[in-house]
Amino acid sequence: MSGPKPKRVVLQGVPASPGFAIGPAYLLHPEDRVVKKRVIPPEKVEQEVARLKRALDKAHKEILGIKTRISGDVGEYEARIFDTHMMMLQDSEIVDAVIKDIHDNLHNAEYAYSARINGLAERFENISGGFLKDHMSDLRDVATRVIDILMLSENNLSYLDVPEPVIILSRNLTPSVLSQFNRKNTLGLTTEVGGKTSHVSILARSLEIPAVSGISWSGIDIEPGQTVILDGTAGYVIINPSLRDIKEYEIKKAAFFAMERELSTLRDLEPVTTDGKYIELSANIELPIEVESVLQYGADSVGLYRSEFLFLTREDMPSEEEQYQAYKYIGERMSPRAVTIRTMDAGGDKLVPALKMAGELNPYMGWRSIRVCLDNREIFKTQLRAVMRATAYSNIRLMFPMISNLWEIRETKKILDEVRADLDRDGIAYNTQLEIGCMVEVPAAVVMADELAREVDFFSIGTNDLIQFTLAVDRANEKIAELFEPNSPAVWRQIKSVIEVARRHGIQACVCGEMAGDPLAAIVLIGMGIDELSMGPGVLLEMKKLIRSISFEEARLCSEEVIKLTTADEISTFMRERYGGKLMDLGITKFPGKRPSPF
Amino acid sequence: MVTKELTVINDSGIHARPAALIVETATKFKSNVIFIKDGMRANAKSIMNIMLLAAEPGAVIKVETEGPDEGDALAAIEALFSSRFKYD
Repeated sequence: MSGPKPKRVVLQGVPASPGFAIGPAYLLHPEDRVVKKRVIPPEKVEQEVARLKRALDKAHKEILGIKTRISGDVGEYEARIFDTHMMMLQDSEIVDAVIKDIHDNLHNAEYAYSARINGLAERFENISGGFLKDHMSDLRDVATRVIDILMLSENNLSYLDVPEPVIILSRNLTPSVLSQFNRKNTLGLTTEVGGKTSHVSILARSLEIPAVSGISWSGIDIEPGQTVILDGTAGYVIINPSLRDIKEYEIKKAAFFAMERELSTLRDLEPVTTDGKYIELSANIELPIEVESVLQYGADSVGLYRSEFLFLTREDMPSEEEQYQAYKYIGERMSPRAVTIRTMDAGGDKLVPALKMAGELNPYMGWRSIRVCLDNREIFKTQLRAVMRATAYSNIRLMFPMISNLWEIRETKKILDEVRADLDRDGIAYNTQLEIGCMVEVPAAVVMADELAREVDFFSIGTNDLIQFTLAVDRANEKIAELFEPNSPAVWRQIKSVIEVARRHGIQACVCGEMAGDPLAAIVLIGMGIDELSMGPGVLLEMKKLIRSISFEEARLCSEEVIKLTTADEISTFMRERYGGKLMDLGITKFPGKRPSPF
Repeated sequence: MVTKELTVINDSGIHARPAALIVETATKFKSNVIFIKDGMRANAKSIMNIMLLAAEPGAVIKVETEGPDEGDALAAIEALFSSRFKYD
């Protein structure tokens, strides 16, 4: 026996990307790297300065590359932070002092540079105010890159070319750094900052790399190469696992892979019932970058692109050009598949800073969604124009949220006609056959569905809002979460009537709320004759598996039974008894039941 | 030399992006552009200097420009402040 046995430590974080990994730890927190001080011979001073300048130049090119990629994948506004980084790189406050240090004290470039950064960091620590953390992290980000470049021989492209499969343990892994890793050698990853919806988590999910976020390494003793288990499904990390842990996780990993393999064979199969009814399966997304996972999960289309996410994380309004680039990107990546863009659905719990939206006493019934757009015509027109321009290149459909009366849809169409006229005048191309639809998510719209159907090409039932308005249950209020009951007969009867109206008018009916992704609810929806179900990309394959195992006829009979029942409990019990066993047999584990809606 | 007192009127103060805009604007001019806040002088052509000012919403900054295009430089900085550091 040599030395004490390393201690087993279990850390809990946030599950960010499902899957399991067992392997050696790779510590990615280079800011902790020890920068050695060397004294250089006086005749090599100019050479050292030249080495510094080459490194700065290389860092500049790298950041510019990242900026270009982020502009395309995430958005131009998010990418602007890299302009700041490039300025920091060239700042004379830093560069001049470092060159002076090399000249005067014969310090090696990496030491001089890191000493200067540490000096500035200390000054930051002495100032008050809320920017401190952000500025420090920007500065560290830039400095780490420069020091990394300096510490590597210049023919070595990246220290990230790890030779063996590893689990990356990082503080703040950015999508750009992650994308430099060889996918084959990345078993899993952890980050300290960011959650399920951070860009790196989304990227990890689309690359199918298990990931856990919210794992802090401060104060934990860990050496590179030590064995680590990562559980991206439940959000655990085990350092120095016991043999029993390893056995347990080998089994979990094998089961997970078997399931994934099975699901991946489904990717290229059609979502058709055993008696031949095709149910269009589409995905709900919030960011352009999510298109990658949509494609990976074999969706027929994007059934709901929540365009308001372009407006939420910033103080100003995105320009027409910026919006156009985002819409065009999604449309082109998905082409020839359809993309339904929902116009800005602001308000409720999604406040747009540029609109100076105040907190309201009753926000879900307040100044939100189409109401905000109709009150801000110029902003609305900018968005419509950006969407229309993008329709020239791809199969885009346009959808309006929270329509509660005929005037709103007619007024909206009038504004759209004005935008078309402007585009004609400017000689800009767009799809003249563009399909438009409205969300049916307010009971008033259900009642008026017959009239609304004459105005649009499709209906999309937003179940989250429809439930909250029908049952008068604020879906953000945890005290009444139990009352938020998707299986209420009051909800089901409305859904049925909307689908019937759509069929009568020969227009398409889709469901894009949480209910579409719930296996039991989906069976009822299919039985009622829904054409399209749109859900989070992660549940698409399981849904396809379910659809391929049922017949439309049995779903229809089942929905006829459901509609006769008079309480939510009866409906839930009926569906569980009828289909619970089948879901178990299919290995469909996602049983969402009642869960708080994310938005 | 010309000077003017300007107030930071956007909602989040001079964080990274406005700081970058200030530097971008200041470097367009030949004149020296100095920001003074609480006795601290910052070269507006250096992003680190601007960041170290830590100007929060409501902060009052004395802007001092000196050089051949000092008037234009001051006007450009003032426009940037009153546009709340907007991009478009």
